[in-house]
Amino acid sequence: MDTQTIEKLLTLSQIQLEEADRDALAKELDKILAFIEDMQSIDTENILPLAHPVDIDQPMREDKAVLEINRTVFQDVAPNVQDGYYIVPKVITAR
Amino acid sequence: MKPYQSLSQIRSDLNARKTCAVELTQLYLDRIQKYNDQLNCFISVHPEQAFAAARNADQCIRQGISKPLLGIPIAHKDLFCTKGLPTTCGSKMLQNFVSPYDSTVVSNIRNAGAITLGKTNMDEFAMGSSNETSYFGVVANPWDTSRSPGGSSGGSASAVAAGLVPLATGSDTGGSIRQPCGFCGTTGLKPTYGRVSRFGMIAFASSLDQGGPIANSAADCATLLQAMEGYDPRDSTSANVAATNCGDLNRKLKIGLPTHLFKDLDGEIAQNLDTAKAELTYCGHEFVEIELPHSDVASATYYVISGAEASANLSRYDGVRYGHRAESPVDLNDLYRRSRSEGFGAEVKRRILTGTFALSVGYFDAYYLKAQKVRRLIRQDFLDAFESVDLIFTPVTPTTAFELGSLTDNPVEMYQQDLYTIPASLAGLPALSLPCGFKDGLPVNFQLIGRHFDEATILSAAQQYQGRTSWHESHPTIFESSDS
Repeated sequence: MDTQTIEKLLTLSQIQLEEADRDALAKELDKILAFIEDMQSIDTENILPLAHPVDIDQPMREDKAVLEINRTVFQDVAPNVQDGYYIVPKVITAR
Repeated sequence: MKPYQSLSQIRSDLNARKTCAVELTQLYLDRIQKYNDQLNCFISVHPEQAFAAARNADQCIRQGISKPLLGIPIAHKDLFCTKGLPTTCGSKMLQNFVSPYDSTVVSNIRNAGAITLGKTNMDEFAMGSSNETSYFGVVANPWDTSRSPGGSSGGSASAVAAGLVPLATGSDTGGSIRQPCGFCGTTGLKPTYGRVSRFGMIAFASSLDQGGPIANSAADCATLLQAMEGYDPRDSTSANVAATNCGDLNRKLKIGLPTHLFKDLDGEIAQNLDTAKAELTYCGHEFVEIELPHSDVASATYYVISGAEASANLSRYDGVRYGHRAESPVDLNDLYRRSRSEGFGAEVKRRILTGTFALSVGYFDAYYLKAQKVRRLIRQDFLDAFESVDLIFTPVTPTTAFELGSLTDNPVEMYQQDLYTIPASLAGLPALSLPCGFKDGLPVNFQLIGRHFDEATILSAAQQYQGRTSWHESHPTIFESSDS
C-alpha cells in the first residue's frame, strides 16, 4: 500500500499517525489485504450482495413521539457543553 | 457454599432458604476481590448496587415472588450499557463514560431478578481474539494464567470459568462468545442474529453483532438466553419470533459433519471431538457428511464486512458528545483527529483503516460488495445443508488457549483463530460452544450450529450431551475451593 493511499485512509478515518509509524502500518495493511484476497477467487457472477443475514421483514412500530430521556441527561456525559450546546473549537473565524 | 453450582441448584437453595441473595452476592464478590488481581477479568465491580439489588431480591423471595433469575449474581460484558455505571468497551475512548440508559439486555436481565456484580473485561470494542487489546490490560485464562482466555468476551468466560460469577453476558461478532468459551472450558451461545436486542450494546459490526449467554452448562445458558431475548422495537433488526423453548429431546437428530473442516485439525483436539461425536451417536443421533464449500474464504469475507461496518460505527467517536476528548484542540479537525488517535488502540485503528479502504472509492465493488456476495454464498451453503440435517458439528478453535503475547505481532494469524466460528456468524445462525475434553490440561470445546431461530434444538442436544458427560463440571483447581 503506497504512501498516498495510507494518507487518504488516515484522512478519511480522521486518525493521525506519526510519520515513523506509517511504514509499519502500510506493511500490516498489506498483509491484511493479502489475507483478504482469498475471497477474490470465488465466482460471484449473478450473486446478489447480502447485507442482512436473516430473512425477516423490517418490523414497523407505531409512529409515536416518546420523550424518554431529556437533553440534560445526555449532555451530562459530554466533555464540554454550555447552555445546552456542545462546545467545539471555533469553526468560522474573522478574516 | 460452593462457587460452581447450577442455576437450578442455586434456585432450589434460595427457595428453601438454605442461602439468600445477599450471601450469594458476598460469596462471589469475595472471590472477585481475591482472584481478580490474577485474572483481570473485571473492569469494574459494584458492591453497593449489588447488595441493594440482593436485599431487594431477598425481600421478593420472602414475599413468594418468582422470577427466572431472582437473586442470581451476574456480570455483564463491558459493552452493554448499564445506567449509572461505567461502560468502557475496553477502550480509553470510553474510559470515563457512564451510560445514561440501560441496554435492553441489561434491563431484561434486571427485570428477571438478577444481581449485577460488575462489568467484565474485553478486547477493545470487541475487536480481538485474545483479550489483549483491552485498554484495561490483558485477561488471564484460569486454567493457566500465562495463557489467553480468548476474546473478545474473555473477561466473561474467564470469570465464569474461575467461579467468580455463575453467569455472564457476552457478545459475539465472529466468535467472541464461542472462542473464549472454548479456551476457558465454559458453555456459551451466540444466538440467531436478531433474537437478542442490540439496543444499548455498543456496536462493532451491526450486521453481525449478537449478545448471548456464557455459563457453566447449556441448561444455564438456556435460562439466561430466555431472560435476554425478546422483540425490541428500539432495535430495527430485532426479530419478533417465539421465545426459546427447550424441552426434553425425544427425537433423533441428523447432525451434519463438514469433514473438510477437520482435515488440518490438531490430532489430540480431533480425538476429543471424536469422543463427543461418539457420545452424541450413543444418544441416537446420526452423523452425516456435509459440505460447506465456501467456508475457506469466510474469514477473509468477515474481515472485510466487519471492518467496513466498524469504520462506519466508530465514526461516532469524535470527542464532542461523549468519550475521550483531546486537550486544547486548535480546530475542529484537530479535535476529531487527536481525540480518535488518542482514544483508540492499535487494533481498532487497523480495523477502521481496513474498513475505510474496503468502502473507499475505487475499492468498494472489489472488496465490500464482493464480500457481501460471498457472504450470500456462505449463508446458502448452510441453508442447503439444513435441508438434510438438524444441526452441524464443528471444532471451535484450531488450538487450545495460546500463550499471552504469542500472536500479538501477527494480526493475520490472530484473525485465523476464528476460522471455525466465523461462517455461522456471516450466516446469522445460532451456535453453541461447549466443553468435550482437555489437551495438556487446557479445555477443548466443540460447536453445534443450528437453523435460524432454532436455539432450542441446539440447547436440548447440548443438555442431553451434558447429562451424559461431566466436562462442563471440570473447573480449574486453584479457583475451585469454596472458601473465599
